[in-house]
Amino acid sequence: MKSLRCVAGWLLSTALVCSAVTAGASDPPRARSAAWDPAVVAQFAALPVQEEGRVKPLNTAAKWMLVRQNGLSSCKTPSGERLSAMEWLLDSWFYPEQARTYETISVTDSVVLDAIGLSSIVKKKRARYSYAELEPGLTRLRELAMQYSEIERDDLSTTQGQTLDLWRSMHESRMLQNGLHFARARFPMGNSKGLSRTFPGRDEVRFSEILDKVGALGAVYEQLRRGTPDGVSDADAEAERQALETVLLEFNSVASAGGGFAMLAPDRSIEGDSAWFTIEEVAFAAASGRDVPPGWVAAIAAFEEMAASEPSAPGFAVALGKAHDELRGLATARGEGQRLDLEVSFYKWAPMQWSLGLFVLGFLFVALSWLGPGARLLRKITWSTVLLALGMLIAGIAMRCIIRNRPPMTGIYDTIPFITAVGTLAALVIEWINRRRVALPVAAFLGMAGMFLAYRYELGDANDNMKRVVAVLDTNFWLWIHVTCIATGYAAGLLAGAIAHIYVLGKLFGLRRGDKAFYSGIARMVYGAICFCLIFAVVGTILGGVWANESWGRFWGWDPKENGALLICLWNIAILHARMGGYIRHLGLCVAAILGNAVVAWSWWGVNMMGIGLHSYGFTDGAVWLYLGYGVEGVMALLGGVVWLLERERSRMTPPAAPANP
Amino acid sequence: MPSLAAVVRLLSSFGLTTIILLFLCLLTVVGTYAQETLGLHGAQKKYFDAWFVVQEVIGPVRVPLPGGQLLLAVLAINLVVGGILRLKRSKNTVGILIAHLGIVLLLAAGFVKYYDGSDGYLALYEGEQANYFESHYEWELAITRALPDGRLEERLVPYEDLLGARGDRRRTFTAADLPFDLELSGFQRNSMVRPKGPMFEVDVPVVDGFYLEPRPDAVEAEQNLAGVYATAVEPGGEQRHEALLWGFESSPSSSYWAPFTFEIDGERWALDLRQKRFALPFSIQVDDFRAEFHPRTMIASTYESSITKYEGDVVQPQIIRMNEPLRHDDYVMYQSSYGPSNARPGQRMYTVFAVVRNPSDQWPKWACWVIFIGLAIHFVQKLGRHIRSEAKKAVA
Repeated sequence: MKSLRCVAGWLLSTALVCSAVTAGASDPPRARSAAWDPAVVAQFAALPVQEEGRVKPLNTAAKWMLVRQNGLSSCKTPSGERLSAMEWLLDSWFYPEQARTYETISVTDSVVLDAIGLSSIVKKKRARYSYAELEPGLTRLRELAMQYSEIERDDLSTTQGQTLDLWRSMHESRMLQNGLHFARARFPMGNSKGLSRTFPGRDEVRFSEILDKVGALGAVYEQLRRGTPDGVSDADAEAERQALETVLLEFNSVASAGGGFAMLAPDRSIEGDSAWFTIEEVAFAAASGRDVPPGWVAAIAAFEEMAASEPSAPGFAVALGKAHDELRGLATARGEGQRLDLEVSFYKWAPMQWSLGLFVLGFLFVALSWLGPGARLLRKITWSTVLLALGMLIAGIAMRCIIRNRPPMTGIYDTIPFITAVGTLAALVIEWINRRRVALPVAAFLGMAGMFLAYRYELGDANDNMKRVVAVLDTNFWLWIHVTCIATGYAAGLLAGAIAHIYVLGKLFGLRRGDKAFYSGIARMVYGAICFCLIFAVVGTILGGVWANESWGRFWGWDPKENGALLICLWNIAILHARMGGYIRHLGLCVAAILGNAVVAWSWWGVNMMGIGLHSYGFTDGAVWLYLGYGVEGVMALLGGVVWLLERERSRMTPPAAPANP
Repeated sequence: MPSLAAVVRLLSSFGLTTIILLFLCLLTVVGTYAQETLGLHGAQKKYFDAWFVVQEVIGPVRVPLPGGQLLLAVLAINLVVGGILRLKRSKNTVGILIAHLGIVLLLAAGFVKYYDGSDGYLALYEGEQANYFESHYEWELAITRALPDGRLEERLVPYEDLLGARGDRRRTFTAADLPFDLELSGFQRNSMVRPKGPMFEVDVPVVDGFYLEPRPDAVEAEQNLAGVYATAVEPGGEQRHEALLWGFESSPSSSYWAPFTFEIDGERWALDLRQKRFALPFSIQVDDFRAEFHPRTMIASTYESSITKYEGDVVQPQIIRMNEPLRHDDYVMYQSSYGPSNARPGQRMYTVFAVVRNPSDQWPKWACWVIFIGLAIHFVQKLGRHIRSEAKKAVA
């Protein structure tokens, strides 16, 4: 919490500095005349950035920044042109005046606009606005943000939280729009003899040139500040000191204008420094007498070249290539950023989104096959589509593993695709064994629902979901073995519940009435899935305890997440014993499996929303959906009760079978 | 009167198993939600460590429930009688038998840990050494005498006796070799020391201008700071040394440690209210502590302590870090946390170890394998039979 306040404070102070900077920069071009060349965008996309503890492509940073502001990973210009996150970032950098007019800043509740005195621009309660539209309220917004940033996160009201979100969006927009301020800056020589000697024959110099010499210039300035050197008049020394001071101050303010991304990796001359540098930090380090690696100067000079030309000009591509090589070279020399291209490809080819689309298509084919004509062919198409969707999903999971060099699951987002993949795969295996055309639609439905949840969660969370893990999770062995087991248990539990729905609804609506083999087949599938769930849930839960014992010294701590996993084990063991004791039969088994869905949902999401314990994420945004889910499963269980009553009534009314003739 | 056979039938029945498991489900859910208000320790004591629970439902409505201890005890009996002794022996139940044996081993591990284990923590600044660890939840009062040769002689008032001095109750402790009686009163499990101002009155004693303000138990029970009024009364009752003892002063967050001291007949005595200590069979010294963060974040990538372990003449340097504890017989020390949380660069840090003595430390791991093997055998057998039957149907 403290860190949140620190970050907010830093944002505010940076913003104050930004607003003070005007000097030394040439005006940026006002509007882009043609669409961005995809090759240029691709090269920018693959530039390395250090953010949230890891090195990632600029494309990833741009995507999440836009999602945070806009709720989507793309946006529209006022002329209707759809821009990717990377194109939006490039417009913000190279055409800031134009980017200011893009309606990318989402305001969830217009109350926030009322609070900053912008009631007149309210479009509707929830709408997107451009930076230019919101700028008149910036002063009031800053005041409120300073006030609210002192409040603990848990104590913030909804409106206060949204105000801070709006401030962050405005700040990030401005940071991007000022991102190349340094590259456009020109520093006039004035009357300084020292500067003229350092840069002979020049009227003005660029940021990179000052950066390269700032250590030496700073030393001269310090010398002049201490006293007049021999052979120089006091007036000349004072004039020289003032000229140098002006340049150094401008250099400093230009550097701090953008904030910007940490794109400059320290080279080998900077020992033991794992943090990369932003332009501001580079300027500070150089001014503090730290050596500036030649690669930094070259990369910054390449950005200056780009800022000085149109993207269609040949020099732009050359400079971009130079910046790309320098920045990637610095990262590679440290052994970092080796999987940048793979990560760019991951977001470019979007296997997760493709799998969602294919699962939806698969489910549509299944639905069509229920109508009758061409059912056999449609089933084959469904099989192919769902298999392809599953393949895309597994490929996506595998790519994420390789990018992070981690097992499939390190955060809650990761659990969604993984559980979806396991649930779908298990359903397909069941269908392949049983061929009853029950598990196939379940596979398509689970895939569709799971990937839709993943998509919504990703956008709602609006944060990079390949973040670094905390120290205790820094063990691939336990992440593999424990988390994978537990998630597989969740998947099987959900699959059992999903198949059980077909049993209850089928009985209720008279589907294949009298076909006992059909329903006993479904019950066997549910039973099998419960057994599958139990074995993984039990082993996963105990292994979690063993991990906790290895790491924290206690096998069991009654932590909410541990209790969630325990509940799945207890519930499934209770079902199996009730079945063995004859207390429940097929219908009871299915109703229990449906309630098992609520148990799994509680374990997977419910306990995380409680805001307590070691696995608490403290989010409550999806609580409504979770309670809705509990409610739906409760109603389904009640419908199971209705089926039981109907069947009992029916068996009463059916006359006993006549004795067989001898 | 039910016959022995009927009792055995009941104890081994699936019905009993199912009912116990459903109650355990209920208790797990209720006990988990209770953590929001009672904290982990409070909920654990009320629901999982108890034999019976009285659960508030709505308003004055209360429902009695079996507690975790009772349910687990009955489950263990049910498991042994029904799941092992009376289980029909055949090749089809081999897996079930093995899985049940694994669960028994798991329950036994929990039983041994609960009744014969202890856990707590040890917080040490760099350079400090200790041969004990402290309880998270229980307190003790140490009466220390400084011997002429510089050693310290210590005797303890245990937690149970401190609890006897709660509220208006007063307890007096005497010993033949103590030159004073010790009166304790107003013990609070969680408290705050406040200065007594001139504009208000308090209904508790005021010592040197300060009084003990009772506070409700913290949701995280580890954060409780106990307090007690202590008076050393010399023979005759004329000389009284009054003290207000507060647990904060012995915690690592406190910048100084200052027990209450007084002199009787030239001997120096000290009273210190501190968390209950457990002796370690070795001592450790913290040589260095390091915390590293993922760049540009406050996410700790690693934190570790370089320590030296002293056991008799054996001196052993070692590093304790996350997922790499120090093991010594039944004792394990884990890197748990560190402080001060707002430390400046170069400031002296303290490291916190979780310390556990658990004779059944490795049993759950063995139990896990046994259960896995049992369930795997059983379910693979079942799956095989199912696939064969489906294949037969397909042929038919």
